[in-house]
Amino acid sequence: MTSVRKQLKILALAGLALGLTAVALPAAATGTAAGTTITNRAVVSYSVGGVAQTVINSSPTGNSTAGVGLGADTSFVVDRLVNYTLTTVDTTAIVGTPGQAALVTTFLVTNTGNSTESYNAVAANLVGGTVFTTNTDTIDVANIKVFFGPDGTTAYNAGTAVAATSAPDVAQDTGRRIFVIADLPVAATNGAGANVRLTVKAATATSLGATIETATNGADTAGSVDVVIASAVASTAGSVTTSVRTSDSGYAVQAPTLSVAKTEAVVSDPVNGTTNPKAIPGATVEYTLTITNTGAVAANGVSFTDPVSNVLTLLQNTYSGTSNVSITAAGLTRYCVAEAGADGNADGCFFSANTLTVNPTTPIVIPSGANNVATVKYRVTIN
Amino acid sequence: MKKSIALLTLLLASATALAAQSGSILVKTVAEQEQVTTGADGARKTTLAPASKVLPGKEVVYTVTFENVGHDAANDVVVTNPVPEHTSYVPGSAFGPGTDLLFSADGGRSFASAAALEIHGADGSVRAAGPEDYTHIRFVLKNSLTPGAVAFARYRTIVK
Repeated sequence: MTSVRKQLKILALAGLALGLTAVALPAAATGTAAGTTITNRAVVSYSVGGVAQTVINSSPTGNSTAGVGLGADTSFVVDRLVNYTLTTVDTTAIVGTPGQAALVTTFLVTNTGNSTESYNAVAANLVGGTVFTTNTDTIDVANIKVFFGPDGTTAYNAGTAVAATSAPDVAQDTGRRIFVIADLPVAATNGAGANVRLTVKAATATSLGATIETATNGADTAGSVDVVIASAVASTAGSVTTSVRTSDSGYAVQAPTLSVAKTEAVVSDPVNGTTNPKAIPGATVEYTLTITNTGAVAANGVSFTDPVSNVLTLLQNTYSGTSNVSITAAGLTRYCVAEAGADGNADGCFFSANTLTVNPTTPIVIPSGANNVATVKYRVTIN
Repeated sequence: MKKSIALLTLLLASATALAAQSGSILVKTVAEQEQVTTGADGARKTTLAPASKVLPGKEVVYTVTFENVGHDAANDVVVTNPVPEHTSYVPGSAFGPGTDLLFSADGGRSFASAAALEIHGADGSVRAAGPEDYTHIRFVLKNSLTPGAVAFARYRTIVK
């Protein structure tokens, strides 16, 4: 008796507390979490012959035993709704240069269901011709990897990103960034495009993206959390319904595009001097190589080799000091010394086996856009 | 404070003493969902089935049936239902033949008709209560429930 009394007292106090908190409870911003038991119990009061009777609580099957707390709750369990969105955060293709490694595209998965999920995320190359915004797929990227960020906003950071094989749990109504990382092939040319598709499936919480959520078929199992796949993400194969969403992004290759023109001009000859010189034996001829970058990005470390006919002799000491090659790039002119044989002064310019090599230790950079023309000059005499 | 708890215990003790007695009304609450089926003739039929596949945003229909299983007429029959936690009342859905409808917006401490229900703020402000404020629904039977008679009340909630 004492124990029952005590229990009732606790119940009554709990009831009071509930009554108070129920009023103050704010409207939930998100759907009721899966697994929540929703209970209900009606109370009937009445009188017989003018005498108030003890109240009767309801039960799911019907209760007539009078007394507070003697009915039973009519309850059901909120089932699990699997629903989420997947979008690409990049509005245009990610720009990279040929051979550039670990280019990052960013996606966002947002859990719009009512339970915590992990996500199975896989990325793959799209077939040629697929278009992402204005980027047409012409090549494939290599070494594709998928990572999850720490939240829905932080940019990719190798220190905080988690591999897709360790997919984190994502609470309902929160988002996570997913990063697809890939390498552009070295052989890629300016204007080439590589588009990728990220495929995301919902998986159960704590399964690291491994246990794919599958809809519970057939009738509801009372008291258990059934899985319902929202129609927006549902994918059915036979009798098995799972979830899938895809989102595309792309990489655009920007490379320098170089064209070379070679012109020659007779500077002087032994007969006419510098006045209307003719290309006769003993004349000095200047070759000008004009390299134009019509690509989208700067060309770095431009070098070239130029075979010189054995009827010509490369002149020394033609430009500033002992230099014999003039290089103008990015609006600045500098010189190097192409000595015969090995590159004695290690400046990257030398003349060996009738071939002039210009590969300066301070690399030649040809920008795109303004100043996109570099010129290299050297002089020879006609034997 | 100690005194009031003691008093409460005393009150509950007397209630416990009466607990064993069988009352005159059998009260049953069921939670159901509407199911739309299309018959062979193509006609769409809406039926109620036990609440299954309950997800946020779905409607749950509560039906309370109360039957007089005693030998005497039951008077002043009042059925009070909470709007369950995690659900909200669907405006205008409460329905009970031969009953007057009252609502509470303060956890069941006071009841009034929908038109008269007010919310008193902590700062003394007063405003009319809306369906989203309802915490309890009360059905007051206008007539007595004679032995053997069954009445019912129904209302809908949406799972938040």
